[in-house]
Amino acid sequence: MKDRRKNRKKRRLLLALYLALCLCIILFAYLHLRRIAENYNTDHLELITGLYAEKMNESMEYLQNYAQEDVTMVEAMKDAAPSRILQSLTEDLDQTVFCNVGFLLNDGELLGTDCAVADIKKKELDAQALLSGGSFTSDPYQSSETGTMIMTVFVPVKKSPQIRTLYLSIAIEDLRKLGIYELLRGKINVHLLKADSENFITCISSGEDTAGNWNNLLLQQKYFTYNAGYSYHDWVKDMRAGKKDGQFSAQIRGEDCTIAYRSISGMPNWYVIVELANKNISNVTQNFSIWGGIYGGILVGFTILYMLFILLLEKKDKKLYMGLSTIDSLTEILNRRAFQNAVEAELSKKTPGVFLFIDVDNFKRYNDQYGHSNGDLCLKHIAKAMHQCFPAETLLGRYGGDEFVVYLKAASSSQVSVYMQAFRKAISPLILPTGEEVPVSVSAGGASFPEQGKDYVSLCRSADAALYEVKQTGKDAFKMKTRSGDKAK
Amino acid sequence: MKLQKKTAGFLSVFAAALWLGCMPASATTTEPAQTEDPGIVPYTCISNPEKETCIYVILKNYHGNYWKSVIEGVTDAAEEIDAAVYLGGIDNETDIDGQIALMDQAIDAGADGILLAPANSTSLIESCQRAKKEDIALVLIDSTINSSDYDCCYMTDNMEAGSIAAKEMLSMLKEAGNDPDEALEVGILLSSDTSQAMVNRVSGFLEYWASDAPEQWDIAEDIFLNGGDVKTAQADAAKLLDTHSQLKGLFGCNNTSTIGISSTLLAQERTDIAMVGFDLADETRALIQDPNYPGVSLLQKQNEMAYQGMHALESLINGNASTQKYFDTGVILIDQDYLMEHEVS
Repeated sequence: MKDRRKNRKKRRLLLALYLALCLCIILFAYLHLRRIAENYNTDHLELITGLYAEKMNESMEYLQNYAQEDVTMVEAMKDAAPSRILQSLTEDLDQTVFCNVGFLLNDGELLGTDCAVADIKKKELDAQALLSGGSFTSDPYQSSETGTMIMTVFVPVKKSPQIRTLYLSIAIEDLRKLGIYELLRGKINVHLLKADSENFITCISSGEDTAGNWNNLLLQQKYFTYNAGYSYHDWVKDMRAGKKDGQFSAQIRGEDCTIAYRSISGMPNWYVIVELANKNISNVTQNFSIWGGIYGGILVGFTILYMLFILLLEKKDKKLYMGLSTIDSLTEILNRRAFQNAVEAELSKKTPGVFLFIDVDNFKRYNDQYGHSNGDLCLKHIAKAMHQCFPAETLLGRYGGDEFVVYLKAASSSQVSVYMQAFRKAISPLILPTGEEVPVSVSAGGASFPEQGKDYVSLCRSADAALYEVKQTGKDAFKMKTRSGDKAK
Repeated sequence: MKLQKKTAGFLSVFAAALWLGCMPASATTTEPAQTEDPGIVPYTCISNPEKETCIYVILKNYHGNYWKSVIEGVTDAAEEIDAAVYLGGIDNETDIDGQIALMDQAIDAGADGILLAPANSTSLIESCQRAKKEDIALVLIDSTINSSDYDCCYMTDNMEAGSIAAKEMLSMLKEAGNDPDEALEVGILLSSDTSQAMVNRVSGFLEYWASDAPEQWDIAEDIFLNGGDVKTAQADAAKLLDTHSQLKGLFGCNNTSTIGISSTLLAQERTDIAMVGFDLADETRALIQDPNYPGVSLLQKQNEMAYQGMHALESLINGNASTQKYFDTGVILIDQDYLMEHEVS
């Protein structure tokens, strides 16, 4: 019994361990997938930032190279008049990319379109070019000729007697067009930021309404909530210190975002800023991990259900096996061992009762005369009559062969005599399948608990003694065991 | 003389509007069906109704001195132009649909030219494209659109205006004897960070500051938005003065912010604070006029935008294409000298 309980406990523990393990695996898988998703986002964000920075750098390089080629041409035409050279350059200018070309002469005069010259003078870029020994690129400014934002590169012309510097302008719009990817349209913000003033131009806007306009990082700070370990000051400090690139997370207007920045090599102090709402790029990966979690949960749920089902079946089988081992298959009443267990359990309650031993009279002869099947029928008939004549809570058992045992709970001898009288009357006659009526009788002996026996064995012995007396005196009767020393009645 | 002329022109617009308001609707309005949008101010012919050439003026606001001055510029120009000029617009700058409807009406009515003060830089693009497709001369004033589908634009270069403001601020701070090696702060107040004009002024200010201000001189990081409310602007200015002990300057990016700063400085008698603002309300004027207070303000030339825009439109209609697309109409620096000079004159 103890072993069985121990085994059951062990089985339950193993099941719990199994389920815990399943849950752990699913949790681990979920976290792992989440991590993969985050890494995926980070990798892609870095890729996107790098791509934009590269585009900017390539464009700046192209602008520089183009200007340098023009410088070479100017130097080759050094004997021609500057206006003649400018005309030649203007005719050859790739107007799909560049919007202006011109010269700063040694005497400080600017050559070019009226608008371009006026803009350069207004921005004092000519003065800057006169002071600067090398190439430089202006900050973006609004062209009065086109109304759009442009940048101008200034490249010194060394081998010309009159021309000091060549300038070449490109529209920011053309730069930003290079960076628009259909896939990311409406999902990404790309800005060009100047580290010292923190002014930025929005090149690509998820809202589209701010594209091409100036803004300022400090002005936007009220919409930023930085994640722990990083701040606005850190970011600005990093950029002003010339850090090449970096990345951090923040909430912008309540939305989780990842922000990456990378310096533009052709424009010192300028950075490409890529701002990406996490929800945009991580939709797929987040769904992936969420659905992974859901399916894992379903799997665990089904495992639990399956285990419960197995347990239920086990319990049912156990009940079945228990039934098979306690019930007499012919009469469908308790077998000898089960009856003994049941009576012993009853006796332990110390409530009075009566134990009966019943024997079918002349059963061997009956068997010989009517056959074994009718013999079985007779035994079934007896068991059925027992069910009918004794109270419902009475324990009924087949002791073996044609012997039956009965334990009547809380019954007196006189009550038992009444039950027995009804029982003996009920069993006879037995009607065989052929319609023949056969007289049936039983001999029975009874013993009271606790007077004639304090345990099962002594009760059984006492009742058997009373039965023996009945058999000795001609059968077909019932007798209770007399008290110790008394003769049986 | 010119001012008197403009005032007369302005009064004549209102008189005309009043007179036309008493006339039957058919006489005062153009052919296109009027929209039921209550925010739309329908077209009113303000000059030469008999002329075949038609110019439609579409404003984005009818309130305040700024827009009165714009109407004044339009009216002055209308008197000089040989075309019928129809003035309309929206009563509220957020009524983008109303402005689009007015653009459609003008195009459908066969306009030769449109003078537009766009209420939105992206929403009006389609209407402008349609106008250009119909070969209608299109001039923008006050602000531009995020497209090149217009002929020219007259507006203030607000980045430049912001730079001028920073330059003036630095000049006043230095004049006041502030040590470049000692820490100092300047506060910024604005009404809205969605107004591109104001954002550009801040950006221009910070651009100049970053390149020209001493390293120890900083911008206060609390940049308050007053939403166009003077009381909030006053409270913001007072808060900055209270919480920033090293504050020596305040920059107001628009009229409301400048009023808030001026009235707070005057109320607290903070003669140690330099102010640079925009526009010229009474409070601002009072501060600038008082020699104890270091303060200047920048005034846009909105009248010029409208006036020049109208003449550019006439020129375009007459087939003279402009090589310049963007015109900065500039700002006027209002300081004590300017006020004295104009009082004298």
